[in-house]
Amino acid sequence: MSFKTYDEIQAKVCKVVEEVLAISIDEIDLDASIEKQLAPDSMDQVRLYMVLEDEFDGSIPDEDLKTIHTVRDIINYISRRLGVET
Amino acid sequence: MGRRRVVITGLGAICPIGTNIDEFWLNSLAGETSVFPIPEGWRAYSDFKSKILSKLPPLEFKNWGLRRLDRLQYDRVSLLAICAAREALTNSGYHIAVRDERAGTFKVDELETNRCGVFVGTGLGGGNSFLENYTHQVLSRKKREISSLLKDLPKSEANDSLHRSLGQLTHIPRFNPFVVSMLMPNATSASIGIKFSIGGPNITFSMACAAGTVSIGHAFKSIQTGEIDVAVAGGCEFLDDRYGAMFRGYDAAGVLVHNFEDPEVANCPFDKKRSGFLFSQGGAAVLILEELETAKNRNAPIIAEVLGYGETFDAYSMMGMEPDGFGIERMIRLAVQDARIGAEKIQYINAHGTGTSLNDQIESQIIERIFNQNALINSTKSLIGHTIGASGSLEAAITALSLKHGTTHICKNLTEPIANLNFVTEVLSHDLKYAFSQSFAFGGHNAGIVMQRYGD
Repeated sequence: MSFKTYDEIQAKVCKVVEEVLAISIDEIDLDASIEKQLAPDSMDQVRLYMVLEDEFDGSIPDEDLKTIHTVRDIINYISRRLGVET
Repeated sequence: MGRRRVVITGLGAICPIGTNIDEFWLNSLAGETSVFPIPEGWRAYSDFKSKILSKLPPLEFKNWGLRRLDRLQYDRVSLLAICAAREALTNSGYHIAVRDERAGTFKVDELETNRCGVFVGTGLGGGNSFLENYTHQVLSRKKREISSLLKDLPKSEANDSLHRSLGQLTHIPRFNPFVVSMLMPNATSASIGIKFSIGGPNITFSMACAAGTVSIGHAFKSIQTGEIDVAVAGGCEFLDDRYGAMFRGYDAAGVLVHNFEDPEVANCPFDKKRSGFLFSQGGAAVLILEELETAKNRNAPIIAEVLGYGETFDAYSMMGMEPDGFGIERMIRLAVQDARIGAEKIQYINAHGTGTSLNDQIESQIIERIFNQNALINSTKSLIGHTIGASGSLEAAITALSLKHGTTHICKNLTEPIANLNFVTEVLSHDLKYAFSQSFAFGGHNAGIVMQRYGD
């Protein structure tokens, strides 16, 4: 599946967050801390990035993960990797 | 507490000829098989003596309530086990509800979960996950390095050839952070316990081809002695990898079918033309075992009664059967003694019946020595091939249904029997009261279960 716009990527990322963390899409705070608020269990973080990699068919290197703290960071990161304007 | 009666109240199965227990049973009576040539791509990596295998049907795990996260976190062997367990619990009359949406877990209403155990057999556990992730570990970085080097070389036939070979060294796209918990054999029973929130004893039995029978036997004993009231018991196996390495393991040992005058009938346990067993991609079967009064109190459907269990060890050879079969004979005598019936009472034997030269010869000699010569004999492996750790439980499920319905599937492709025994060649009605299902394993493990039609 190819993603042409930032909004498409945001919608898909939020869908994955809902799928993995069981947070309804309407209630996802894009700027909430993944580590402290959305997925305090580190295994949930591993699951979240694993499903994102599966969804977008790519790999997120460990050094890149260090730059990701919020769902908005994820959307921005994937958009950059896919060459979609943020 | 004295000996309590133990009954089978639910069955679930996935195997090459069925994605649920009813399909498996009906297709077994119809003599269906699922024999295919081995994948063409495997021949790029080695030569094989055997050329066929028994394939699982396509499976949509979401039909069993499983999610993408489950597919990514559990080896296929555990997914098969979870699906069979869910079907068995449902067929047993239990209602399954969501317990924790985020964790993807369920609860089983009306089940006192701390009085319920999970007993699962598997031969190789999550071997598929181990091998798949190993391909990534070995190949991903090195392939990139080699590709980069090749780019700088001038175009040539040798260069093209190297590119082609490199293209055949495929691997999974990402190393899975859950690989350890996927490959460990105990993930099979643990995954059922976690998925269905069952907190009693949770044991994985790894006795190769006997694992699925041993697990049921130990579940039976745990209920009979009062340790628990209900058991989710069975076996599972998934034998596949992109390079055919698992298949090659058995093929190199010379135990797979290799007489291919007619591939359609090559898998022929107890026939003079037999040449080995049909490799199966796998499967799973789960039986719900339950203390009789517990089952009756909740009006559970009762399929058959488990009467006795026996197990012995050959202490002889890792891959060879003890020629006299004394270890197996001891096991059978222990099982019928435990059932408090004579061996001559057994009217139907679901044999181990692999199709290897030695197994069928020794097994048929033991049957001649011990059992009533009129006892019906078939081999479920003549239909689905050898599912290793799942085989004993799939065969126990068939045995229970044979007692319930008073009929048995045929011993497929049997035209020249190696012994003068009552092998099943037609699906007919029979008045079956007692049946026996037995398994023997690499290592030297022997196990057998005596069952009785319920209601007599």
